Amino acid sequence: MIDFFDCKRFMRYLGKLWTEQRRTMFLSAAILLGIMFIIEVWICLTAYNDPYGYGDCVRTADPARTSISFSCSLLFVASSCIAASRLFTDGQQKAGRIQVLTMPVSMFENWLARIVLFVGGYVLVFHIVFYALEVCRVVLLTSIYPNVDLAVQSLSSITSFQHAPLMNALYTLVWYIYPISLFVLGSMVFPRKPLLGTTISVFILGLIAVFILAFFSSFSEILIDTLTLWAAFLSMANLWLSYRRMCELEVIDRM
Amino acid sequence: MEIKNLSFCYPRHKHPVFSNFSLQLTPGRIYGLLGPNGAGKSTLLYIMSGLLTPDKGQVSLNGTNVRKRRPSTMREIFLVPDEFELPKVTLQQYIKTNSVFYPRFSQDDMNTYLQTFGMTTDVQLGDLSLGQRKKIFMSFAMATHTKILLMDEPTNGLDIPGKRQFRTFVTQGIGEDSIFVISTHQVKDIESVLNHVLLIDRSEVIRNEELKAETDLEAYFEEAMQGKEVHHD
Repeated sequence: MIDFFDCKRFMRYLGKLWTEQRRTMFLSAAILLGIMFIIEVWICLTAYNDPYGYGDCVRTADPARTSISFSCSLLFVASSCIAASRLFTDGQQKAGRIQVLTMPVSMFENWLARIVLFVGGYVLVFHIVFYALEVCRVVLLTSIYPNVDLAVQSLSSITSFQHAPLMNALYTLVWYIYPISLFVLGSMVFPRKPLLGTTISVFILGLIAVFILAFFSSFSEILIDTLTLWAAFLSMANLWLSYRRMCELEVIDRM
Repeated sequence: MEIKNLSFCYPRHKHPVFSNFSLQLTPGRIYGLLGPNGAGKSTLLYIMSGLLTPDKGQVSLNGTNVRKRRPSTMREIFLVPDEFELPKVTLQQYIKTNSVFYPRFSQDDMNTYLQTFGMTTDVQLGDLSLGQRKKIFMSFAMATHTKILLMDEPTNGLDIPGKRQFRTFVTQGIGEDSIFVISTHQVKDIESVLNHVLLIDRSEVIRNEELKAETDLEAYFEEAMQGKEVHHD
């Protein structure tokens, strides 16, 4: 019997987690849809405040473009961090933790199933909701503002003319993954109050980082490259540490 | 299952719960794990199911350290703790998603055990009382046919008929190669089904012997514990 990873066992555990958590997840998706809908409506109301101004034949850029992209990127990072901090939600209390830790699955399968469901699943749901609302916005507003260049927006990305588009996409990915990985680690280090514990820790670490970066007079390309590489390394380290921490978890908290 | 030179101390506690504690459990027996408050009964059950890491020594099942929580080991151990949680799903969904991890799980036996407790499978777990959930959880635990079944205060929350049903239920489930360990203070509830008594007080095994039929466990306990100190930590 393979003890570290067995695909069939992993899929069964993923199915079990999904069955037990789906009600909460549907509720979270509905809340996300509501929040994003309010954000989009608010931005549209403030950005398209002069309908007659867009009526002449001159084509204009979409005034809501930057706001939507920026606001939804912020929402993405914040809500993904909250979703990641729910990674060990069923093991917060003693009773639940006994169930989680005595399941006949390997700790790697247990950890991976949670990452897939609480992080991967959430990212997928967010993108579905975001693009669905964006398509609705474009379809609805095209008939009202025919001269505005309306297009489905994407989340904010890092753009540097020095790098190829693929590198820019990788840089963006790193800076999205890094905060989420911190909350994944936090959910295992502070299993009882993951969101509070991690937020306080991140705030303190952020202050230290700002203090150190204050010594650099300007953000050169090399500094950004170095920081991105460091963030990529830390993201991997955070994920690995969260897995190791899960292996060490017991029915009591020693910390 | 073998417990060898086990030492364990809770963090920020002065006195260890176990120090060089050793024990061997033999298949085909229903062990009654008894002891005064603070003797370490629940702690021992947690260590036996890999939920606590001993400071020294280890608990092994067929030569494998249970603390590693390997799937091949964990599918042979089932713990029914004093506090437990069941997800808010139907019992059928619960059985479907959990039974697949236990290779010897029997649906027929599950139905028999549920019948013993006067319960059916068409229930929503979130709607049940503590006693009803306990009956379902214990039925599931028994139906998995794991080699080791550990129960911590199993009769807590059961009504009077439930306690009687529990005794029938335990005798139905024991097999030649399985070990049941029942930790309880409610000795009257289970004395008729036990065939071995393990009376511990921290690292000291006060009694580890076969239980004679019709033994009054309360008197047996009182006699064995005479002159022992009470733990206050």
